[in-house]
Amino acid sequence: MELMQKNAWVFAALGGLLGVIFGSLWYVYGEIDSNTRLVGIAAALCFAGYAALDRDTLTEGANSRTARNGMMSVLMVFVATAVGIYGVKLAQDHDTRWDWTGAKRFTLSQESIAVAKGLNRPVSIKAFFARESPGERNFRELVEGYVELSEHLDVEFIDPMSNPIETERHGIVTETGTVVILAGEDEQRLEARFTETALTTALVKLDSEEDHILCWTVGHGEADPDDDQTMDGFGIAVIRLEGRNYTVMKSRLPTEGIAEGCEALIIARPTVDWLPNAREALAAYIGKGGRVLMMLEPATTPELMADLERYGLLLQDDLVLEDSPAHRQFGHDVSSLVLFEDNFESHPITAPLSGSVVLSYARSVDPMPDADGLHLRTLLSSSEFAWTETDFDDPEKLGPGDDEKLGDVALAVAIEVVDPAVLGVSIDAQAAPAELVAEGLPNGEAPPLTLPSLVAPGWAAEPGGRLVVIGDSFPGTNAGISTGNNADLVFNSIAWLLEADDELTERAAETDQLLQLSIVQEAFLGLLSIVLVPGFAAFVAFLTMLRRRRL
Amino acid sequence: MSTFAIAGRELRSLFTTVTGWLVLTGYLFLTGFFWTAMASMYAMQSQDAIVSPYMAAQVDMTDYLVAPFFGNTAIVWLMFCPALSMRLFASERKDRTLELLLTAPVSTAEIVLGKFFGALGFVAVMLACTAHYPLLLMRWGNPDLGAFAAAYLGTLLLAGGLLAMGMLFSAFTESQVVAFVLTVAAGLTLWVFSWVGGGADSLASQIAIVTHAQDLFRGILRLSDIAYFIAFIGVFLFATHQRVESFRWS
Repeated sequence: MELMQKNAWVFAALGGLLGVIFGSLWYVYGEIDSNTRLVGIAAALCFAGYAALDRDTLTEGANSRTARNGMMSVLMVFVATAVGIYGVKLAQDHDTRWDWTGAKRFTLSQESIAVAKGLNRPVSIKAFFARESPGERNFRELVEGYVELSEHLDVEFIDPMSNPIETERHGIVTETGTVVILAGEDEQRLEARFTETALTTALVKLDSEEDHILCWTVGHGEADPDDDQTMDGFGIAVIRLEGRNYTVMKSRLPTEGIAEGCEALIIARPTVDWLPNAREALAAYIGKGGRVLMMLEPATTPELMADLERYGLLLQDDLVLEDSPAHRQFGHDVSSLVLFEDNFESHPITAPLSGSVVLSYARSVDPMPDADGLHLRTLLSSSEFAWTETDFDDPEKLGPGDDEKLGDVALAVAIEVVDPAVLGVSIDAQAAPAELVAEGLPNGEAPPLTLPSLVAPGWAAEPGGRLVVIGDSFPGTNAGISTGNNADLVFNSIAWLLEADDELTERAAETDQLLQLSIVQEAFLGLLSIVLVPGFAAFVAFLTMLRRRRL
Repeated sequence: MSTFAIAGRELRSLFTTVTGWLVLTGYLFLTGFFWTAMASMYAMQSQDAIVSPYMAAQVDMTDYLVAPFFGNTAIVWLMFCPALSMRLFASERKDRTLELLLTAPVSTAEIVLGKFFGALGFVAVMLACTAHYPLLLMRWGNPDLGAFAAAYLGTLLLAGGLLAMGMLFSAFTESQVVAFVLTVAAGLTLWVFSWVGGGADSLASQIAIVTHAQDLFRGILRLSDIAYFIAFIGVFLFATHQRVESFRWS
């Protein structure tokens, strides 16, 4: 017994240790299960044992003046802590924030406040961002303002790395973050730009917009709209279009013509030439006010290219190349064209573009200046160093030749049909091309001498058709869609075709936040921050040391 | 009034000893290194943003330079604040000068507040020595000065919290080394809470001291964050007061 009394502190120490374990288990599991309770009871028993064994010391200590004052001090500190915690809790319950940023980045506009307050059905926002990324923090801060204003808004942040199933379920493919906004069956997406304007616009669209139907031509070796894996596929563009309330459906033009209800036709990189009846069906569609986006490649579909003359376009069999010191300095291949604002002509499609459009293996799309009944506007032009290479099969002969255009080569054109008669649409059956008759069909059968008309019966010309032709398909491909302003070029072309001005992408705000330092400035910054200012303090420290030694 | 006299004495004592200047040198060298590296990296990101509209829309000097800089250098205070606070009471006890102070016609509260404000004043001087960071940015770019001001305030509050905690440990021991180690350990523990999962609203995150400075580094002042720092500093100063007061009756 005497030995136990002598070592009573062991019970106290054990009790303390078990108490800490008890607290930790409670905190980690959030509840007191049977094991945790046992640990708690053991801790209490240890303390009780210590009190029983060392009661004389405790009684003596408790009665001393020091112990009484000490206990009082500890008690007062506990009370002060409790008051502090209560104060923080009170502040959290009535939290207010002040935005000290110069541009009031974290303060909502009156329009956004009205939109958030006006939400009348549950809206779920799924924000796919890497955890703790600047994008996540900024969007969290932005959306918090909306959530405070509407009880219908529910926000969930998802890290694509930790929740790949949910990420794949929503078809998230961008690396810079994606926000999916869901209200019932309706969906809107934000990609790359997570500004207040973008979020407010998306919330407005959820209640007001219906799906646009886009028809994707197949049957002429076009790019696959379902392929989101390979570099050449258009799957990512289609996923992003669907997030903007577009429905993309395939249209088997060579056999079925253009389906009714197609608000716009997308012809992406056809590689098999179009037969006359398909070309007439296209002309009839445009001549009846239809809307078409064409993304072409060099050295393909010569008949279709030649047929574009009726739309006021002159397409040579060429490849636009560029070779300049600046081009080489940035490591670009001669077949890559990087177009900046100077290369964008004034047009609703290009107005929101503020960065660069990147093309790869593009062909020229030359508008004819004297095209009657058509309104042609060049969208993109090359730099002064680019030229139209016509002899591109021989790499040794690359370079601007006498018959090749040098500089300001048109690469994309927007056309409005003012007078459909100039298209010369024929609704009759078309004669089969002589070479097709000579070769026969792939299945060995003889081809018909005439091709059935693919134009719907009762066709009548209507002005207002629109066509956008881009001399390259790279901007819409999986490899190119996320490069520079490429996505904006494709999506704005579709929006312009549909006259959906509210679908035009938001022009990135002119940022004054960039910092461009010359080598001299960087060196000065380092010299001042790492050497001069700390060096001065070190020098004074040295002087102080010398002075104190002398004293 | 005595509070300011004691604060002034503490501040002067730091500038008349080598320790104060060495702390200042170390701080300026470390932060200068961070600043140069991060500003250069931001300049490179700006180059990329010129050709990428998506990046240009996201790249922001506050988010990509100011907030990460103050967030990264906050860890520096975990070393420098204990270095400043360790001597506040420990050295007085070791040199047997605390008794003199306690018998002087000043209250314990004035002593504690005076020492705290003296050390905090030195932190303010350290921060003032980094004023060329925003000044250079103003010459070469267009920084958000409001965000800078909030970030400096956040750093001052963070350092104030660590100093108040360090003062308590300093009052409990005669050894400056022990006071330093205990403060670093406690500060690190509070820091580590911010790494524990559970999101920004979890209890661990609410306890973590650095969590409450993050928004300040980005230019946002929250009532809850300010309340946290005031409560944190207040509780530790009160505990220090009680400890120092105990020297009168023990």
